[in-house]
Amino acid sequence: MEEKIVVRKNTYRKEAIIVALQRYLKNYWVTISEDETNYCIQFESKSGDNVGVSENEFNNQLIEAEFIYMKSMESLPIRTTIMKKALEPYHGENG
Amino acid sequence: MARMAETFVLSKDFYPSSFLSECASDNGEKGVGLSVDKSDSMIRKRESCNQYLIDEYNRLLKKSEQATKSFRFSDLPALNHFRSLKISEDEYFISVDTGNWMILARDDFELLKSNTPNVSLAKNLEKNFILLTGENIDSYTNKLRLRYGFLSEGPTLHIVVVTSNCNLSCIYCQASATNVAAKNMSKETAIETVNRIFESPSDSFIIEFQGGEPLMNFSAVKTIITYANQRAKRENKQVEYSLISNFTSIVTEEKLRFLLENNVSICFSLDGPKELHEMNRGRNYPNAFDILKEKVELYKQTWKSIKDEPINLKALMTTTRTSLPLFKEIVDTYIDFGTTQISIRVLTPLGKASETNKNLSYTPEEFIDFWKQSVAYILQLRTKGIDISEFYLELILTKLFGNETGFMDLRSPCGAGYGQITYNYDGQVYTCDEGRMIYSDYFNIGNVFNQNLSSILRSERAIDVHNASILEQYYCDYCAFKPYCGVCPVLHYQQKGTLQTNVLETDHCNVFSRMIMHVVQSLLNDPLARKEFEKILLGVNWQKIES
Repeated sequence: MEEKIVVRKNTYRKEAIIVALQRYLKNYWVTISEDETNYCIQFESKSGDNVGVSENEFNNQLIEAEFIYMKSMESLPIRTTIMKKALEPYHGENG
Repeated sequence: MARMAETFVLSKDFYPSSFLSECASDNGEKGVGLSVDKSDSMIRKRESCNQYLIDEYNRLLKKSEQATKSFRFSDLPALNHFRSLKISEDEYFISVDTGNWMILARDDFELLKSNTPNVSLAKNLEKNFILLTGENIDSYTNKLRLRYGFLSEGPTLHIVVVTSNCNLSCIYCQASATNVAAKNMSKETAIETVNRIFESPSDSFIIEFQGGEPLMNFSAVKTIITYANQRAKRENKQVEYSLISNFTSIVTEEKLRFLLENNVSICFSLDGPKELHEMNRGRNYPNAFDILKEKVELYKQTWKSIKDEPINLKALMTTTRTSLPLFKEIVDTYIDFGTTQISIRVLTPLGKASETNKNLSYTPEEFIDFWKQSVAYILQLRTKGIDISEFYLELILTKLFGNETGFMDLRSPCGAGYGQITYNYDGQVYTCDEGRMIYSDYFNIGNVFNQNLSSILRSERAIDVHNASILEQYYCDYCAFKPYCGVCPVLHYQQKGTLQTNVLETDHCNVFSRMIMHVVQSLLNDPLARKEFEKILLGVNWQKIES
């Protein structure tokens, strides 16, 4: 019914954990506890079924989330500038 | 699974202090997470925990907007914003905002991630706009401009609900049609509706007649077409018409003749073989399938007497739980009727088909299995020379290979109140067809009698709705399939009571992301499917090639 996964605070940033957890919120109640060095993520099945989240699977999700978040932040300037240039002809008087 | 130490407390990094204090006083301890009891109050707290994670995520997206530094074109070459998705053990799907995409092997993906591509990889990245240089930057911005050209067009699809009456009582009716004469559009409302439509800045647009059964108020259909034709001629605008009908006894040669003479594109409902089609039509209309066949025959004859060109039969099916094992029979029925395309649509949980109707509904996984089986069968038939294809397969292929299709459900922002508007029989205006089907006036954005189109489109509600369909605010912005997809604020509202929601929880995301994944994987791994996809994209008639 519930599983707990411990994640070291100095390995993944908080933002990556938030991004990675979005996928699980439909089927699980997720609560995050902490001590000085770790976060403990508790998954509890909403339906009462067994929790189908493994530590390995969640770690993979964290790696992916860390990457997409970082890339998204890095590439935002180029994306914003080019989109603005592309849409220039459609902007009205007020931009 | 790691064991928890007793010293863990709810994290102050993820939850506000007021919530932490509330939980601490409830539990009477600093304890681990929340108590696992199933009381209403504990369930509410768990829901709050989930909601805080969603709120934090939304704040993250907003924070990243504020963090924008400037980029200058003199900084090129530079890596573009790309999204990635692992699609097999060794392959990654990479896409950019124009919809250009490529598959990278794991080693190349690692080089891309570290921004250290070798010469040959760099060339491929440049070709697909993942690497932007002085050579490709203009093509890229032009392509983006074309892709978002619809933003400046104004509404191009005007849906007119001329009646909410219907002679059938289909078990899944999303429009909740009834049989009440007072729910017909009057002549005065029809004229005012056309007046509002012609205030649209677009030079060409489509007027689509819907119901209920639109042919039950044929006088309104005639009024609108006649008046719109006069206005179009006078104002040099192009109007096309379409009409969706159940093709029952209400169809007469006189009506068909008028519609065809005015180039109305007609689409009829066909759910599959006789037993399934009639079961879906409800108890009060026996022999619906035989009558439909008879009316389609009448349509074909009327077409031949008016037009020189080959007939283009269009039909719409709705998938219910009963349809799921009948994929072959459904496709075969479409072929028997002479249609060359089937649109395998997931049931939209609105009206009678709302989520509470478990006899009709199915899981996204069940629907995707059904869609995949149907597509596989269609591809198999095509290899035998039978001209049949599937709407969503064509749509995804067209989007993957670079063209914006104009299909408003899968784009950002979606069509609601932006590309399409729905005018109800009583003069009320809604953001879209789905918006008028919901049991609420939430998506009502005005009235044809006391507002012009501009003020309707600028209403606070209309702006809220189309803002809610912009994908950059959702997890979609991290998804590699974002350029080919969209969200539906009406479904968000129906399911969660808010315009915005966590898209990963929606059936819409579950269904469309899996459809796109299936097409991509078939392209990569199934040579037979790839060959047929190429023909579908070229729009080439298989039988003509064979001959």
